[in-house]
Amino acid sequence: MAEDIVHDACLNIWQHADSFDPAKGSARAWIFSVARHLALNAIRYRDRKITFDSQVTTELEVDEHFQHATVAEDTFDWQTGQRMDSCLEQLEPERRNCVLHAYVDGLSHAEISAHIGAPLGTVKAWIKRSLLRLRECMT
Amino acid sequence: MTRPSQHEPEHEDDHALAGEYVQGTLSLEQRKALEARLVYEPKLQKAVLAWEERFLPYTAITDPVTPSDYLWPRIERSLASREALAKRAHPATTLPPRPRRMLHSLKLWRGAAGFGLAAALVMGVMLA
Repeated sequence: MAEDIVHDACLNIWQHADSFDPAKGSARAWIFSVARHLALNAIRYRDRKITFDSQVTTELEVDEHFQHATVAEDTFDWQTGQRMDSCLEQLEPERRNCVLHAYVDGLSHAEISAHIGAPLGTVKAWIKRSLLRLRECMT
Repeated sequence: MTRPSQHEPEHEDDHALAGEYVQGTLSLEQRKALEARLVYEPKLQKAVLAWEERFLPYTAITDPVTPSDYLWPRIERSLASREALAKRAHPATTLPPRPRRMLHSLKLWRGAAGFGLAAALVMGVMLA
């Protein structure tokens, strides 16, 4: 499946290369994004039957202040020397882990929730809040 | 009376939504809905591109996966058959404009050089 997606991504990039606009970002970012989004669509298509509607989260589950019994540690060796490092550093380790589990491992909210043992609503709230904090920090 | 602050949360929501799209946490339906909006909403497009750039360095966290020896020949075959189909469809066209533009886009090909490895490392981990 991974090779099918790399194959499709190459064809896609070849076919749409004239839509690439250097003013809007680097070629590297564009090529990665074409491949990533093809992969994400394939994964979420595969997942669609086993995950329940992610919109359905009861109010009770949305507890941004959920805390693990022990202090969470970093799952990723995430320092890349980029500017966003300092922004990621400002996040609590467990929230940073959520953000990276999503981007690096391609995990869904439900998968992250199961993986780290925090309620689904908490994971969603953490990720949304973290993204807004990262954006604020980067601008 | 205008109260721009009233529109802020919606604006903020779109930035978070764009971030979640790039991060990959949205469901298939949410992804498709956002992709449909992208065509008409340059602001949302900009928000997505900004997130792509912000997160890009973190693809380096994954371990590279080398694709099999069959992949590149397969891609070449697919490209060749696609070109042949295009020629059959437009026999009158002497020189299609796209390949020219593409070959001259040095920036694009510099980026493409590392593509095999780059794509494989992202997908290898995500689809494992």
